[in-house]
Amino acid sequence: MKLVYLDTNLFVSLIKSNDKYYNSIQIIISQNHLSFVTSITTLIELSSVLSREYNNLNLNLLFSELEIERKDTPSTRIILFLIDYLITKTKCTIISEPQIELLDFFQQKIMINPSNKIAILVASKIQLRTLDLIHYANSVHYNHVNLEKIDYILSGDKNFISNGRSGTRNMTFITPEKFIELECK
Amino acid sequence: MMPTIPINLDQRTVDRLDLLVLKKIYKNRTEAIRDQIEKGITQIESIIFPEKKTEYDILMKKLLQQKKTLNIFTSDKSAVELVSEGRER
Repeated sequence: MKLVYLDTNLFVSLIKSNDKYYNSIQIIISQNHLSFVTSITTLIELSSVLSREYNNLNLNLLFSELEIERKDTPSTRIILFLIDYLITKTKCTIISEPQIELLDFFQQKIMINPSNKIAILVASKIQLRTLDLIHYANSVHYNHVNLEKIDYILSGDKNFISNGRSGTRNMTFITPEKFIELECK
Repeated sequence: MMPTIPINLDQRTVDRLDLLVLKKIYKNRTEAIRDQIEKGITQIESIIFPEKKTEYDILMKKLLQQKKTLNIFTSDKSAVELVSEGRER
């Protein structure tokens, strides 16, 4: 069983039929030999994207599929429902980090979750933008504490993939096209 | 037409509701109270009647049973662009 870390943009592709990766992500999540993880960072980004795009979402379609009246459901509930739908649809496990550690490099002693600590420590070695770096650090931390290792970081974002590839050899950054070639025969 | 129920709340609760409205979590007090009552009842129901499926569960199941995924984004931007806007790009 190969383990794949899904980047946020692929969840968005899943509910955007005119997107370049709409068909790819459908193929990928239908594979039985793959399992998927993502992190809390993805939940935050999905919440942010859905909130920013809220007025452009086709909510009438959602309510018609559900066969219920739209009424005045608060936007927060709808956004959380959509995120839950995306996570459940992809059968993706969210990496949770119940523990915190001491960050003792500074004058001030700070309690920090391990992924954020990794992000601070590896930033100089891997040239990634902040949120890309946090996704990467979440994967590295997962591999530190679990027997089952993440085989791929899958993203439609070419910047993330190329910067990730050039900065590390211990994780395979891959685009959906290449991933389908390799793993979805 | 929804029934109207008058309720008495202490000032602290009203202040806390107003803060949620101020922070734009809810549009107004009514929406905040309605949503919180719904969540509270659902939570208690799930404890008292663990076998009972909530409306949320039923709706989610209905959506997940659809073979095609929901096509909800109408934006012309790609998924990568939409996410990248929040990633300093």
